Amino acid sequence: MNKNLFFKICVSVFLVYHLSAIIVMPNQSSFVGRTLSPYFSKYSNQLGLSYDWSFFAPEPTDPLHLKVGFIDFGSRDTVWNMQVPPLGPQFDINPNSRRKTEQVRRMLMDVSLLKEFARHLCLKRRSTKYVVIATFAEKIALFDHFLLLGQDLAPNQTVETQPERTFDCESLISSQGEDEEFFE
Amino acid sequence: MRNFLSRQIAKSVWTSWYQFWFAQQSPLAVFVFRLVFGLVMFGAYLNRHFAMSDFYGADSFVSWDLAPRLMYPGLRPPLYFMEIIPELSHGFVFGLHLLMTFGFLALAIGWLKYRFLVFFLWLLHQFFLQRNFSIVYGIDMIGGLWLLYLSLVSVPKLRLRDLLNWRHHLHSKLQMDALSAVSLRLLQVHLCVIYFYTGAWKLRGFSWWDGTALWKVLGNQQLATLDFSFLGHFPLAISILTFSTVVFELYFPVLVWIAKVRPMVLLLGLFFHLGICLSMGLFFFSAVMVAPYILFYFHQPRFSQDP
Repeated sequence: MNKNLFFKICVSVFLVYHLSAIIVMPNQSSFVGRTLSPYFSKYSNQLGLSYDWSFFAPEPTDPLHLKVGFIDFGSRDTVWNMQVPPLGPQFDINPNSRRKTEQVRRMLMDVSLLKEFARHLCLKRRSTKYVVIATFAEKIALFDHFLLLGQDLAPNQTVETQPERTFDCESLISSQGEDEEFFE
Repeated sequence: MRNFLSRQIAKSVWTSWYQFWFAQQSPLAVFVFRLVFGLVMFGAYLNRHFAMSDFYGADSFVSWDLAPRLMYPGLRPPLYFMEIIPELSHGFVFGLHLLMTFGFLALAIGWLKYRFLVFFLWLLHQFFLQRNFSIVYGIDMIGGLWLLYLSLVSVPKLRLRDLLNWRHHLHSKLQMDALSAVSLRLLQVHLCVIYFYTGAWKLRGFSWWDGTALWKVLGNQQLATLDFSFLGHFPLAISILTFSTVVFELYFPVLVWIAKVRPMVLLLGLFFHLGICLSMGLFFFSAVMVAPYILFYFHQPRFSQDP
């Protein structure tokens, strides 16, 4: 067989495999995906082909925030002195701010990540006994409310999205982030 | 007779397959795509370099040990850098990031002449994806894919000054090898797959279906670049723009292959991403999505050869 043709047939076989991977892997929860993904997962995960692309089609959410407070040794009061990202209009076009906002969003979905953040704060601020983290959202008026009630597009109220969490710095630092320990 | 027919069908299928996947791309288009893509990634990395400490350094709470836990289990690659290589110092990671940044500049201006150098750049890009997955953004995902495909493409023998005489080089008979042709075509097809899945995902969301999604996107002051309250006076426009987004993403993968409507589809795409860029400030992401349009625009069917 012509060497060139043989090479092209080999490339074509690879093409079929690769194409199947990029079509099947983004929808792994389907029947086809569940059946075929074991044949592709290692290959596609290594090459970064497995994203389901829902990242580019999120159901829009309200602006989300973390409010961080510290209770120092010998004190009973929570001092709220950190907000990530800050409240109010940002209109910040720096892509690095977007990355930080995205990080906050993921922290809200994953408590263990939130705990690592608390541990990080404990290590940075050694006078702290407890770190308190509250999560809340700025509510954007619904489209219909805007039309019918004349509400403004700018967020007009804040709502707590998850119960306030208190992390004990001593146990966080000593457990090396293995177990979650906090009291309410 | 039956044998003859099946041979004719097989031949016709192979010819169509061959002409699609092994079609030659204009070397100038490939050169310009590398230039644009390289510059966009250079800009994105350079920008991120100013927040190195927050994302990968001493001020980041994502330690080396924590990094593997941030990767979604379904996306976890078999070759996971955080588990294979020993913990690197912040200074070394800082240096690697700087190397990456200028690596993209070198890619843009054609200094990375060998495929293995581009592949090495892709490996480093993967390292930074895995080092802190909680800050991964669209530009990182898409940039990684385009870089992977470019690592299989030979470098066109052109220089920056050849752009001045672009008309001559557009139709030059410089041939690219089969692997390059296939990789570039795969890149184009992958873009289509991404658009389709993105559109399909949007249809699953209630606010995209009822046409109010953009209202919430533009009202989210963590995303919007301006105060878009004035759009409240044009509610129909918001609904139409929301539906147009979904329709564009679902139909792009089909329409872009039809020569007669291709320029119109690409122009619509350009406006679509310009809109994302201006309203949400995602300029690097928009640019990296639009960069492959260059390959579509200069798509030259006559470059394809017979098997």
